Amino acid sequence: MAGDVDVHEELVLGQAADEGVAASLASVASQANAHVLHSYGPRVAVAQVDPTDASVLAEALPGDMTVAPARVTKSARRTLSDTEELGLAAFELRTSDRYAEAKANRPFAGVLWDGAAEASPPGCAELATAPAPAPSGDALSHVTAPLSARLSGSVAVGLVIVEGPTTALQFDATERAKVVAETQNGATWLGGRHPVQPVTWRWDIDIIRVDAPPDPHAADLEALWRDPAMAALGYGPGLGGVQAYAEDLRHQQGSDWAYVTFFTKYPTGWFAYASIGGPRLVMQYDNDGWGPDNIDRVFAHETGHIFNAPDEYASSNCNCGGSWGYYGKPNANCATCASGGGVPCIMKANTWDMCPSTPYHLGFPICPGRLGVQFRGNVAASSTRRWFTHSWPADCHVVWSVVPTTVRAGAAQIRWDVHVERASSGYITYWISITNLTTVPCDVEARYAVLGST
Amino acid sequence: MRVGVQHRGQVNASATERVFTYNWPADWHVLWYVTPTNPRSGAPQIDFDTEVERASADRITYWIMIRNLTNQPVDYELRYAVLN
Repeated sequence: MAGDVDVHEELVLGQAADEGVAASLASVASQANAHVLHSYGPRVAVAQVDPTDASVLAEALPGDMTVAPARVTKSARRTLSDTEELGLAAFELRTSDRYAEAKANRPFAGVLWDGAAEASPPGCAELATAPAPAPSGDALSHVTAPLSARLSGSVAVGLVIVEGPTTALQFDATERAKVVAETQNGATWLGGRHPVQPVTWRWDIDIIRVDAPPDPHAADLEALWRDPAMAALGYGPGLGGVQAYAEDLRHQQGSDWAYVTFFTKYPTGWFAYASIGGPRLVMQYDNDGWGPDNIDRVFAHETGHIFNAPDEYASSNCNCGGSWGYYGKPNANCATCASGGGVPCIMKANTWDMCPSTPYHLGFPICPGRLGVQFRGNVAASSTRRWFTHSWPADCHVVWSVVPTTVRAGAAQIRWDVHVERASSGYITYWISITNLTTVPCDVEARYAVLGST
Repeated sequence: MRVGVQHRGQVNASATERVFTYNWPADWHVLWYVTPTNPRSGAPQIDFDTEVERASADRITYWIMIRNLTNQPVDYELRYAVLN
């Protein structure tokens, strides 16, 4: 298990740069019930796969691709690009004992983002207007299609580590790998909340060293280092240049969405912030009092902003109204007004939880239609037994039916009745009473049909 | 298939309310279900049953009985799904 996000991930390595591991993985994924979670260049990918299906995946892939390699040789590492090497190092770090220990001992685990005396809350920067297009001299094409309308499908992330001229402003190899591991961990968790298919993250990593001396009194603390970094990548100044880069990333990676994440040690106006709706997210490596071991959760929180989710902690001055995100839903889990202060959520606290409102804001499909068996059991002769099943999203239309699985022809065997409990504003508990009408025990299965959402 | 909310209301404590909804085309396959809207965790709040009246050759009236299983008023919404 990599990280602490309860997803079984496997590293997949290719040898030839012209054979995209992620593309090959995607083409055989259904055979092995696997899914590409991360790609770092053409030769390094991370797949979600059931441990029992890892061998099926290995057999389905071309012969020069390796699933869960026991070791990666020095010569193989030498062939990797910077992006590929960092993706590999990040996964190796996430599967290490020290990483597991760090995650088990996170500072301020579960604490509200505005509840730690020694740490500031992560911020968000709302844009009054969309970023201005880059100057025509940039020779970049701009399209007006949103870069991050909803968190689904595939997302290209330009991860830019911006270093400065002094040692204090530079990242060593361990810190670079840490940044990539933390963003990988946070993205796996966040994208894994999608109810139909986890999000695929396509990373493009650059380490840019600029000459600008740090100036904590600069009028625009971000532009001081961001604009030279973007110039080094061939883009213009301001958020227009960042948007142009994200648009190019989306095109190059063939992704549905894109944004740019900057990590730096330069002074910034806040230790972590992002634009609602993109195109950029900024984080400092030290992550204020939360520390580098919480970069993953702060990154997930800020990526929530990129995909239009609002803050839910009280000091953000949130309220329970508004029209946020893909579905234009109010911020119902805002701590200042939700019943009991609301429920734990990545947009409110340092936690791997998501409240019922955030999926709407992120644009997840709500209540995709599906059928299933929720439980199986046995009812004794001439008796009634009651089960409950909880945490069904309240907006989902769900109907229940029960069938006997014990064969006995000639007369009805069971009858059922459904009682309903609104366990919270966002979730429903169903209580299903099943009566055995016969004089012998009867096995049953309770089936559900999710029909859609209101 | 489409889903919706036909009616919102309240049932008094430990009471049963019967609502009807009419003029539903007879060739529509319609399911009815009820969910409480005010949270009260720990036990079921609502039971419901559906009865059906063929009001005309081509129209159906549905009668839905909603029983409050608690000792406090319960707000509810009556939901439907047209399956065809």
